[in-house]
Amino acid sequence: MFNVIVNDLHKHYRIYSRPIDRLAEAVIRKPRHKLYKVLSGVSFSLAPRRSLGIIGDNGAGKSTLLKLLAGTVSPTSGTVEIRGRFAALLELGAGFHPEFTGRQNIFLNASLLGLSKKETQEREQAIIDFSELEEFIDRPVKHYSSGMYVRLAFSIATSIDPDILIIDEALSVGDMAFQRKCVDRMNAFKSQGKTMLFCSHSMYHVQELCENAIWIDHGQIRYMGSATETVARYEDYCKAKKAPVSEVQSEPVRVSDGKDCHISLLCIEDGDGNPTDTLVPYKDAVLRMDVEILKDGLLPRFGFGFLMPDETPLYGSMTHHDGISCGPYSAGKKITVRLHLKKFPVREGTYRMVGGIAENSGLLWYEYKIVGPVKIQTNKGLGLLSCGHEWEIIMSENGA
Amino acid sequence: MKFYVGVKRWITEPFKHSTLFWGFVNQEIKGRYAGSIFGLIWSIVLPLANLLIYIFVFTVVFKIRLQPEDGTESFVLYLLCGLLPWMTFSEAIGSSPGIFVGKANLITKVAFPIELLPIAGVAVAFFMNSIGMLLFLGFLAIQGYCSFSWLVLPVVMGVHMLFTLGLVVLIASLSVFIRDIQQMLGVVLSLWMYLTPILYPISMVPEQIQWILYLNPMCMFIELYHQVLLCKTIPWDMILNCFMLALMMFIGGAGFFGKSRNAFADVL
Repeated sequence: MFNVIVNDLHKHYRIYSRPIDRLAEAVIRKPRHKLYKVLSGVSFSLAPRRSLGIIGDNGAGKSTLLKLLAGTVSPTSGTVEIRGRFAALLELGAGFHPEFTGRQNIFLNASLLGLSKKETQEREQAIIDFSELEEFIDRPVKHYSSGMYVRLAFSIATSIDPDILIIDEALSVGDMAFQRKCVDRMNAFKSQGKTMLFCSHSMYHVQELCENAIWIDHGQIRYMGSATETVARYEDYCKAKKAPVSEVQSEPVRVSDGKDCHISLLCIEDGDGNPTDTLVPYKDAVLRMDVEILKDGLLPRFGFGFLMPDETPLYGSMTHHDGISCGPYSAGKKITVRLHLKKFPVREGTYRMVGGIAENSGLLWYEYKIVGPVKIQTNKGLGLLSCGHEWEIIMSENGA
Repeated sequence: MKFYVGVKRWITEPFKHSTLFWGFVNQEIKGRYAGSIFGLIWSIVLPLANLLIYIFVFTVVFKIRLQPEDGTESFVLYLLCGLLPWMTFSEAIGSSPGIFVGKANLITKVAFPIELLPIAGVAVAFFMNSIGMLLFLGFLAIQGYCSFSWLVLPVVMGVHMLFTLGLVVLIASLSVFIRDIQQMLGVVLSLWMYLTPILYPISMVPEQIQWILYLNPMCMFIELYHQVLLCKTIPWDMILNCFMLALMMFIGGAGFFGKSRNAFADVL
């Protein structure tokens, strides 16, 4: 009924600090290793003609899981059962000999993937055509560019015809046009009713090719469900990891040795000059930074900006963009810098504000500080931006 | 039962996966001199040069004398008779540490019967040296050494191959865990050759020390070649002994392989 059944799979590696410890352990029979648990209790099953995506951080155990499925690595405990003819594409170009021509390498690579000589000969021309390497196919593979290499490897790998395919990030090779061809071929597999297990970092491809997906984290399945849902949860997790939105003003980040200047205040001011953390769409706003100069003769550039949750800049301005030169300032001076924003157009979302002082060459930050979250008091409308606008509705002359 | 299945695989897999097997053999042979100008000619020139050096040193400089019971009075023939099989053996053993280690990438990424690799390695060594062997046989025939005992030569070679395969598998499997073997092997093989009656007949070795040579398993194999090709005898008891030796070596090697095989992918 099920094509692929994985039951309570565990995989541990023994880590020896030195090679001699491995020998010592075999002889003395006392453990001298550390146990590194890659997979701890993974179970799932896959029905025929369905595809399963496998996503997760680097080091979570995805590749190990695929190796266990492919049979190249033995589990510490648990079982893997695959019913039907399957092929695993864990690495492109396995078995390629650099001195041999592309054509010669096709044959060994194909036989490693399970094709007989006759089957390879039948598909030889189709493989060459798909890889778009007609002129180079009889040159040694060592002369290929990395793009050509993977195109040939992918071409051979997808010319086999098993019922079950296990693929490890072997997609997205080559240039955009070829990538499109790769995805088309994967889609063709899907429509041919092949069962696919597909491990990738490309959430887009996972959602396009798989119905269901599992998210592996630290050797265990953290979520299993539809591809869209699993990807959404994983992406939330990634975002939360990268940008913890704090309620507290962050400590100033010193990039230089901190003896040049110091930001004593960074905030947004409302119309009356009071600090606020809310902005109103399409209204004026004032960004304020109080700076204390510590080094004599400082020639700084001041800048303000807004950051999106994933650290992409939403908006930013620095004094030198507008041709304003500041300084030189002598030590001990206190400066207040204000940036008056006219009709701030952002309508929606949560952002953080950054204020900073850079060195005159623009290469070094003296100091910058991030505050947040900055909320936007949303108005009626749609989308991220708000624009100054005016409606016009006119009746035509005939009244038609 | 599991053991029996394990050993049976060594016979069945090359046939079941013949394309892959011959693919490996091909890759090994062509790959050796691929990209070089003179290509496979080197596989003749190098051993030939080696041979000529030995002949010079031992006949001209050392002036070795052979007895009639050694089978021939010509040192060259005696040398070739022992050296050619030894070079086959030495080549196979010399490449054995790298057989699994060198294909680590493949073994960890693609599921295929890795028994094919040592078998291909031994097959390549025997193929490459077979040309020399054939030429030697032709030369012997012209000199009048042809005899019915030659019919046993395939058996002798078969037994020799079995022993070689067993040792190759053992060394290849051990090398996965103990990389030092690669370093030691060159010296060991060198020493081993001098302890085998290839460059000298056993008759030249003082009686008291001869037992050391008989401890060397290869001694019996090389003597078999001498007996069958030069002395024109068929020493059945020696053949049987060699066969038992080869069988033990093979079972030992294949057995160790079977036990440690699952750990390869973790270590490689």
